Amino acid sequence: MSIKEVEQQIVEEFSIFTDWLDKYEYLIELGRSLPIIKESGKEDKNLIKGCQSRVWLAADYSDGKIWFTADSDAIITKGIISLLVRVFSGRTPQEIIDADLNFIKQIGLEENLSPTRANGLLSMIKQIKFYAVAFAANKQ
Amino acid sequence: MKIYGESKHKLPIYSFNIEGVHHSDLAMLLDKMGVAVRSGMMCCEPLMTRFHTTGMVRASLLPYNTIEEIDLFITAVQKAVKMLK
Repeated sequence: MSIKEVEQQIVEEFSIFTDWLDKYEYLIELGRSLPIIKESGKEDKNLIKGCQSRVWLAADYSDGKIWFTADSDAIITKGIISLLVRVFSGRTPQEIIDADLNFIKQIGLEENLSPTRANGLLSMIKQIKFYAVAFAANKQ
Repeated sequence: MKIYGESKHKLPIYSFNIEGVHHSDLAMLLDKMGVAVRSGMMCCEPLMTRFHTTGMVRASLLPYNTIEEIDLFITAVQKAVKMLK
């Protein structure tokens, strides 16, 4: 499945809920299923700056693809990052660099977050893209 | 619920945490239920360190708040905690 197709799948899942509280409930549920980062990965170098809650994001590169694991001390944040992991994990660096992430706007995530949390979301995306650029540069 | 600050002549400003619930999750859900609270470190990192926490939720009451609004706040906190735990 391409990034676009996974994004579309997420948009459809969120469109089932009309009330934002239900969408949050779904994010909480997703947060509980996030592939958890290893305890050893919860170090400062994996901590994303700009999040109100603590978020750790680690990336491994194998067979030309990037695999992400993450964790957060806040469950809604975990839900948000689980969406990003679902879209980006197992992709090539170039696929990640080229992704425009329309689904975030389409599900209305950004405008339904507080400014600090929306800022945190942007920091998570920035970090994922940063990993992709770094692995792509390493490959050359 | 742990309420911080125990002075006798406290203003009706309550900073608190609920065990097993992250302050920013709780604040986010309360916001969606129409309750405005502040959360996080509140620009006061040394105080958070003093209380061994990464943040708190703060409910501030003012003369215009009604008993009904306080009831709504309590119901919203109960509902949010149920969702988060």
